[in-house]
Amino acid sequence: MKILLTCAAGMSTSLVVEKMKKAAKKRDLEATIKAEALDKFEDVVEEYDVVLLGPQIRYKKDSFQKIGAEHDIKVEVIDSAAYGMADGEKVLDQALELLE
Amino acid sequence: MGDNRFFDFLENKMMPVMSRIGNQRHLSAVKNGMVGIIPFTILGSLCLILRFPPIDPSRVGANPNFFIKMLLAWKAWAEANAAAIMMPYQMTMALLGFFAVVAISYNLAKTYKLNLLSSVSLSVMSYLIVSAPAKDGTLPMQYLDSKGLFTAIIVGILAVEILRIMDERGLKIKMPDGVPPAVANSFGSLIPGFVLLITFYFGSLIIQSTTGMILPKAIMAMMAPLVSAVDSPVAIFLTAFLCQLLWFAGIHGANTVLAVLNPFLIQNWTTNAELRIAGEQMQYIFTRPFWSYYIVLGGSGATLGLAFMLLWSRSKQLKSVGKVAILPALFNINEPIIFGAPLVLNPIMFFPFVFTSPILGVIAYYVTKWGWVGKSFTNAPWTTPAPIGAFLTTLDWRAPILIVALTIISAAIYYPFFKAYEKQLVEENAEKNNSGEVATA
Repeated sequence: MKILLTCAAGMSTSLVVEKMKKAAKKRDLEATIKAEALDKFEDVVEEYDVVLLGPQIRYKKDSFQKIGAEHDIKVEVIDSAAYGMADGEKVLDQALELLE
Repeated sequence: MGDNRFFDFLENKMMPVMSRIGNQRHLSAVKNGMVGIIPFTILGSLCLILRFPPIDPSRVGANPNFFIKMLLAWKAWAEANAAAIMMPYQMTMALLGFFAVVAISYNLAKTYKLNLLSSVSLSVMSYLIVSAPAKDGTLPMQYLDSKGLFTAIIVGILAVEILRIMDERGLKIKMPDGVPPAVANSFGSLIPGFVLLITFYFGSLIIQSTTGMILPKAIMAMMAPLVSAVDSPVAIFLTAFLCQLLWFAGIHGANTVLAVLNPFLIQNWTTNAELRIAGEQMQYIFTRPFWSYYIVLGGSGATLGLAFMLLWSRSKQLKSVGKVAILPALFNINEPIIFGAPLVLNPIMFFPFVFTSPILGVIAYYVTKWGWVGKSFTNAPWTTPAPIGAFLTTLDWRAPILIVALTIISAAIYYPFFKAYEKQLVEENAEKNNSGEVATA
């Protein structure tokens, strides 16, 4: 399972990514989780199963969902409270729900 | 409260505009182009830092201590080897316009799915034709640096647009069927290249003969009023305010505001560098480092002081946000505070979140204008901790002191609002606990 998180520069999402990796390890989940800047999205989207956007770039949701749909990849915005607390468990849950 | 209408306005009126701006391809290409030239500005800045040690020999007393002696020795070495030290600068920052046209045309051509190699190389050709007409076997570099930044933006966009139109119309040399595809392709870029050559060469000649100026110089003259308007307390206040208003709505404000502002801010500090090298007075105050370290001190909304207050808060919720937020805040990343506290759409925190950055910007403007702290003329990554970043970009010992002062001022602005919010959370929590006890009793 491959999860991509993206925000303006990929900096603050990388905080969440670290927490998600820990959460995945705790659950014995085999997952590749990465953070990228939003302008990399189009180049790398195909490599992932699901993409989550930082709430601060939710204005990109529509255009990214369109691109995601071409590759059958779900794109969603991260819950802002979970994002703020860098709550890896919750964000991982959100990614897993999207994959179901 | 009348707040709802305001929130509706942010969500329903501002979001679509933001979305359109954020997805506008030319603006995105310029924005990504400006990101693409950052490595060159940092490499060039390393030379500048070596070249200008933070010491003024005329101010050194009769008995300098060891540390001052070291700096003086460094200074003497830098003066003696100036040309050698600055050579890499000449190949990086002094060619900033050149690298910008590469990065901008690449990013724009990518959105159109054009052939990247030919789009970039033809854009570079167009840029060189208008900016550095060769003479006696040399390319004049005068307008290939940041003075050519706006030219790079205009030429990069124009060249790729011309290529796109020709690509859509299918204007290529058509080879008879029997010709191998590889051979046919080798002629493919001939017509587009020819059209760009003619357009930019004759365009350049016409502008030179009518204005007496080479194109980049003419563009600079045209932009001059705008450039000086941007370097003002009013512009600092308004751009920081707009950025924060967007952040209050939970949208990455800097990503949009800087998309437009960045070429100006980059040009301002690189021009300062040129002036410093020439031994002249530096001119511009509002630069990219000024934005990164003074205005968004500790992250958007200047929350560095607030991060410490959160850490020591009586509210459990705020304290736990503080714990997550404090380390990233030192590196100017504050999404945990913005979304965790939260500051987004939080009416109590509206005033400090939206106005602290603009206020700090105006204060720092005057402190710099009055000469209390030097102007910035190098670049460092925006994630550099503010005191270090401010020092490296001004090479002035007083800049970190300004950072401390601004942190205290920002904390003072946030304090009453933070206390009110904290009180509200603590009370809510107590109520919850009480009602919980009643229910179980």
